[in-house]
Amino acid sequence: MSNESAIEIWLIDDDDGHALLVEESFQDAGLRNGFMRARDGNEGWRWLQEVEAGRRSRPGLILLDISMPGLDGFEILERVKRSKQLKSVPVIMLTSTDHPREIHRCYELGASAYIVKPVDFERLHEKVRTLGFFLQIIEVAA
Amino acid sequence: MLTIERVNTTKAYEAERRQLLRARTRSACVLATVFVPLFATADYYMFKAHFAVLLAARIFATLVGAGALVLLRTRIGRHSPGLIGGVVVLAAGFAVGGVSVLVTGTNTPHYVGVTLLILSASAVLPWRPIQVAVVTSLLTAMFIAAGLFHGSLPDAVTFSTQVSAILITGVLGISVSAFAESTRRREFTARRNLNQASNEKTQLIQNLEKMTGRLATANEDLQERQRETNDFLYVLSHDLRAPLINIQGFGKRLHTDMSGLEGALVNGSKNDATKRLERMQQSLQFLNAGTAKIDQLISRLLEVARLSTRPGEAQWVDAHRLAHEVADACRFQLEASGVEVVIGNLPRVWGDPVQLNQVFTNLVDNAVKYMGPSSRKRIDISCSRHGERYRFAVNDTGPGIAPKDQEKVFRLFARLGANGASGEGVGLATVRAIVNRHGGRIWVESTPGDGCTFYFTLPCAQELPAGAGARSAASAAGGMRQGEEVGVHV
Repeated sequence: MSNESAIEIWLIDDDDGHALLVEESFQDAGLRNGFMRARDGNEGWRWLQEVEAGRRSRPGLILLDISMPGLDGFEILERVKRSKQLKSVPVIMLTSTDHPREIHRCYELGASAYIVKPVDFERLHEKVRTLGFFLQIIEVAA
Repeated sequence: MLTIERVNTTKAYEAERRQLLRARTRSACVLATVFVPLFATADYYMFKAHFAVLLAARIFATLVGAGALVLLRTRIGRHSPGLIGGVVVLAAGFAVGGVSVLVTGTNTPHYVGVTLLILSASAVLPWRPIQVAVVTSLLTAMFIAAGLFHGSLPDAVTFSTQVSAILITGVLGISVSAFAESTRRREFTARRNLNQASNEKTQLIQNLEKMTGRLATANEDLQERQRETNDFLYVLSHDLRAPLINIQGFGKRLHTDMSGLEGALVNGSKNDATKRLERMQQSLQFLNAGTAKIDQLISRLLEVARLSTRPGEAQWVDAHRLAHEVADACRFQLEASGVEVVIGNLPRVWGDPVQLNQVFTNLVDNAVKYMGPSSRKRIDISCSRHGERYRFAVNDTGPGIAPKDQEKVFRLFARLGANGASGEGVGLATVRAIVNRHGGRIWVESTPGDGCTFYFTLPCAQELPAGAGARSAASAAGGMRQGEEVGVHV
């Protein structure tokens, strides 16, 4: 699994504590990815726009919170999936709401997975690994 | 109840009858002014006497007949001002025979005309049978008296024929007027019933409309409650849960590090132990922050929740003065951010002065906070009346609010954070709770980039105690009382 380091993981979440826990869980699990964290929706979207403009390398995976000041998770997800350059980036929703309507909405908008907080980190890592594997396939095929 | 109804009906019928009589009498008067000279002319050709004598005879006869009727009317206590005219035509016809016999000593062949007149008058004029009977008897008596007085009737058979003709006509007239009277009465009753039914229908419809209105209001209230509940659930499921999740996470982390520390101590790895301790300290910090956050959120949540249940001190509040007070209190903040506040004419409203002050303060504060780098920083506070409600408007020249966020801004702990403005997301939720408690609604209209206007309504009348009572009762009894209140008032 040497390709794991190839994918950079972005976390867009306004909660400092949770972001720290997620980042550490990756390190603990031995996923040596590049890890970036945006502090709110607006910052996250700014980075994504920089990716579109070619000033920043594309993330391999986005972990996205829903409820944030500024742009919320739904909007970012929608924008990502509408963007030509970004729509192939898998997005995993990490959020504390488990309302079926919100889950449904996220999948409809194109989320790859929806994980309710408190995050089962093992499940998250598994998802990340699977998505990373598929990502590689896609990249090879392309 | 029924008797009263009947008396009223009779009274109303009499009034209507008098009106009808007056109207027809007026027409009869007009006809009389034409017919009296015409009859006189006919007499002139018929009897070959002096025209003036005949005309005088006609007028005299008319006046006698009219006088008799007026007497009759007065005696039975129903004096009618237009009555004299009414009898003119009839009397003119009735009296002609007697007078012409007196004047000319000849029986006239045009009694047929007279009898027809009696008939048509009893049908057309709204007379009672008794009136027709009296007039007929009077005329018969006159006719007989005139014949007797004259003494030399040429033909007794013709005379008696004439008398019987008048009497038969009288009987016919009585029947016709009786029939007409009963028809009119029936028609009147039917019409009155119809009116009553239609009035009742109108009232029913009005009641129904009122009830529909109340139901709509109740429905709006319920929807508002539903929204509040949804918001509350959202707050519970997200805002309160987020710090809890962190507490859980860092609790686990602390636990892991404690085990790690144990191992490090056993192994004597000082480096590892120090690192573990540092991490534990960090975990504790996050744990503290999490509990503090939860505490703060619960306090705020309770503050807002209490607003919708606590009974307020309602009184008349001069909103104009209140707005100026708020602007004065925020003057430092306003001057610092260069915002101008313009206050229009605001009415007096019924409500809790402290809470209403909070409404204006929070709205102004909110507008200033999110004003952004606008070139023309201005807040307009105005009010207009819409039916039974005042609609207040607080308009600003800030960046505006996107349509999708216009409902979200009122949610507790919601922050749009577009400008990185700090806030707990409590201000507008508080405003909404207060406005709802005062029986009003609040909403925002905005074109992004072109400022926004917060509208809220307050009732014009002294409505708060009942409305607020119902609201707090509704919140206490899970909304059931709301429906009851509607039922009782309708």
